[in-house]
Amino acid sequence: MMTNQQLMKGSEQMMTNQQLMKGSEQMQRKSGLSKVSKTIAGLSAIMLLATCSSGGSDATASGEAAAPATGGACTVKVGVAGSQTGGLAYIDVPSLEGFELWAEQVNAKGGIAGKFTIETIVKDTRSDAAQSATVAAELVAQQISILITPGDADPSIAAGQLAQDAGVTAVSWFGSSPILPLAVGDHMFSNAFGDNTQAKVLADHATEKGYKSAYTLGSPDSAYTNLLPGFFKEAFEANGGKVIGEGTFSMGQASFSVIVDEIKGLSPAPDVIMTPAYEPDFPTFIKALRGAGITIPVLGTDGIDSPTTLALADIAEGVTYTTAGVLKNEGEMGTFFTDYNAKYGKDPETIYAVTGYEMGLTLDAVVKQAQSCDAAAIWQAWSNLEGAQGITGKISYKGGDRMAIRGVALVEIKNSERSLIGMFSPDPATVPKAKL
Amino acid sequence: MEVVNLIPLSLVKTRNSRRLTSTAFWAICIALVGLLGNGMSQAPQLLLANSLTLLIGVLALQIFSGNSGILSFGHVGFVGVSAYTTGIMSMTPIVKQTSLSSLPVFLQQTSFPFPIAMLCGIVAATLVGVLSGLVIARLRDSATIASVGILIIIHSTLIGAEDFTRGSQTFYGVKRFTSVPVAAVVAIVALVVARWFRDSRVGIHVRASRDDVIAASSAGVRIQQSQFKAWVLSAAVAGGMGACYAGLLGAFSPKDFYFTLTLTMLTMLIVGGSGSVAGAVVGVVLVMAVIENLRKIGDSIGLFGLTNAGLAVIILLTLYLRPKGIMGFHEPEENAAYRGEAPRLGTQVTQQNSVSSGQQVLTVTSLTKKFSGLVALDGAAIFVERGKISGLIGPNGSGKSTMVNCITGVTKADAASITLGNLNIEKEQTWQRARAGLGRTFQNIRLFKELTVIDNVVVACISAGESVKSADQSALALLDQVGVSRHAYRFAGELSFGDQRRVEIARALALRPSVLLLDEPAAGMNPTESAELLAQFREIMKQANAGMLLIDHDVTLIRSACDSLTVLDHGKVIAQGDPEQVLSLSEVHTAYLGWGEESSDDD
Repeated sequence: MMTNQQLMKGSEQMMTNQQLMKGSEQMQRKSGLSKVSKTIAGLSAIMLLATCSSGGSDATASGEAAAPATGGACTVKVGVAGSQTGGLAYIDVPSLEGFELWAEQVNAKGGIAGKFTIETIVKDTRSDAAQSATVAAELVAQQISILITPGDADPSIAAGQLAQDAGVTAVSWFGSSPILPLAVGDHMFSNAFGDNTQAKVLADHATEKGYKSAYTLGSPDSAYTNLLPGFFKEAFEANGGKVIGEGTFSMGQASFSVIVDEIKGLSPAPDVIMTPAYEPDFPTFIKALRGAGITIPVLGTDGIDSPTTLALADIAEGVTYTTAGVLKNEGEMGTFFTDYNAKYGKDPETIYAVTGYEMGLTLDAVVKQAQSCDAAAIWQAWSNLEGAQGITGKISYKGGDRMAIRGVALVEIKNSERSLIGMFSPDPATVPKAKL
Repeated sequence: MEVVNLIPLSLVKTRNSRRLTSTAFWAICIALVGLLGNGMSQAPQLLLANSLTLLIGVLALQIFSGNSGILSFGHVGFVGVSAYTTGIMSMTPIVKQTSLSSLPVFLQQTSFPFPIAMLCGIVAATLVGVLSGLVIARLRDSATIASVGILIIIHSTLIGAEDFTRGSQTFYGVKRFTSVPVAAVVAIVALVVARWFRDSRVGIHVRASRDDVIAASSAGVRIQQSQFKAWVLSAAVAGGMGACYAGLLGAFSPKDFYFTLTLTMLTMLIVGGSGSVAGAVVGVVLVMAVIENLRKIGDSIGLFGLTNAGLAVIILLTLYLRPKGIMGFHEPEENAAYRGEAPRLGTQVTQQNSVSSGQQVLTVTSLTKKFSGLVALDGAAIFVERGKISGLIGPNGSGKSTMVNCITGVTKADAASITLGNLNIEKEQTWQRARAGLGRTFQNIRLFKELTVIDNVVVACISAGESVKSADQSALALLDQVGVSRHAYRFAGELSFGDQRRVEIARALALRPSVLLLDEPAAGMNPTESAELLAQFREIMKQANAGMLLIDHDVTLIRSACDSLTVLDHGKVIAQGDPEQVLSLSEVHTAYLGWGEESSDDD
């Protein structure tokens, strides 16, 4: 669910830095262009350098230990077209870390089912759609068994089209837009639940809580913030609820007072407010809302599953939102924490490390089913996968729209901590359909 | 530069042969890439198609930003407009039914083959270019910021026009028609357009305005219009990139046409050198090569930040070692031509004008200019006769330069009546006054420093209505006349002070002026040089059949040169008439406090 936010931030930075840079221009006399261009180029350089540090993950070539080919043994070549650098790295880098942890563990045991070893080939897409296509073509040319694509629709579609043409399964790290598989074709999947599914979970929760009326707040500025309120409305109204107001905001807008006034003016007041807004909009909105003395409960989506939200303390108290799972060093997740820490020397920072590991667990189940490293067999098995055991719950693809059918965690903020209400897996038949 | 020495002089002798040599060379390179790429496997094909597509956009940026000196952030917006238009126009009705169900009916049914869809994309980008150009053309220093605004507006519009673009959602279903040969063909067209534009009438004028706005308008350059034309043309070329980009990706959303792509393209242009078409090509090739190779190395050793680190190093190195970009402001073929002998004059162009001396050609009356309370000019009047030299003197701050600026329109007078020949020009723009026959030089020399000496003069010849080809001839003749034709192919900034003055005079003469305004032309010259200059002035005036307004501090020069003399003090004319008489007046002595006695000692 990457959006323009990062890009906008970059540009703002650039504008303010322009003034700073002016001072350092004591080279020779230049025409207007070179002054500005030096500034721009210098800033690009700085921005690029800044992004370097975000991507320095370890190389992956766990294939050397490929087991001798005995009794149908073979190597599953996993091509990863990941955004190791750039705006999508925040999803793709931890996802790959989780996945590589899984691959290492599996290879240590002689591979999946003791004979299908994993070879991971990682190529950086730099969060760029055109680059994603090139990288995917390179990987497909290396006869990979499966392609993993970035956690966003545009680059995943660009890369997935090439996998589709080559008959290779493509799976997005965590692209949650349900149109992603539909836009490419039957070989494109996503490891994420669809936004329509998380909206359904929120709607069911609202109904269960006894809320009858809702107000939704979306933004046309990104597919994520644009579509989620609609999915929620559809599911909520199918449950018998009523959306009595639909507000929109501009991502990054400075003030939400107009929207808060609008909500205040609603009569009767809605029982609940649902919004897919995230940083910086969600904090701004909830501060304005609570500041105006409005205590209506707020439902959010996985975009606010960040420390920033928890840092809002009292203001965010009671906010309930959907996410892939709760990152907590206990139970099943506890083992993952220990292993992750042993390999990387740090605790996992985001849930994407877990979902990346689960991508591996899914592949594990698929290959066991396919009993082959062949791309076509893997596609068959992936399409029909049922009940693979992940960390956060079971993962299936059969009967869905090629978005992962997996548990959606519903979390409530209590005492500035994430408190799991439960994992929910709504029946795909009741989930609002993604419209192309 | 070694490259330069490889180019045979015979190929680059004339402007047209330079254009031909360069476009042919680059077109062959691109065509070879296109042919080679066609036989490669998919990944390098995609890489080449992507590079060629970016080249189209960088060339578009070069056309506007490189020539005008105004950095533009808006062009990626045009790329986006064209990408969406091309997508909508080329998609089959069946795909549209699912992906764009709310499209107006007539668009639902249309499905053009790629070349026509691309044309639609280019037209759409051009239209947006025309609309935004109306704003951009009026701006200079703030144009870059305005172009950021244009990018944001286009971006928001693409998001808002949901029926056409699916809003912020991914727009998909475009046939991936951008093969390497397709991108190569479009890139060649873009390259020819960019190189041809550089040496076109508008292109030369835009480049002049890049180097010096005031000098350009005083040389008759219609800056707003030239800037507008360059903007629209570059929008159209950016449209070409948009069409190819749509066909390359097959799926995209508005965020793909925003600051990230803008910065990539600007980096390429700045590293290569924005001032030349070769710079655009080199920038794309170099940046793509660095990205690609470092990415491969980075992928193989697991150091994923390597690409960005390498790019950063390249940018910093470029800024440090070659701040104008690798190729600088000049095409290699230009450098090759300029290392050779200056061109010889074919046939001497002589202006046989019948001298009808004595007729009043410039009449200025009741000229008033206030700068927030300070009265710089207070009802001043001056006249210039054909074939004669009018002198203008006055102490520092008396309003002499303000007067010249008001007459030429560089400064807007509060009130004035200015007649040039039979025309009232007080309401005209600077460039109009220049074209009407007002040639001038500046107190502090203002040449187009990045243009060659000959092009400095060509700028004004074009303003006078000449074609580029005949302008080259006329400019050479004029340079010959002022005695600097041997420097024709050097860059104006490299010349000595005196020679720069001469080039400025040749540029003023190229407007075929009826009046020449010379602001302290003898400043910094010794008496012998000034005397030489004076003789030259008389000759020039005779040939050009013009009148002259001469401003100087050098009383010896003024006394011997001028046919009439005006003295200005505190914005008022305090004396006017025969130089000898005027200079003997006591008011003039008082105005120049103490200067009269010293001067008579010299005599």
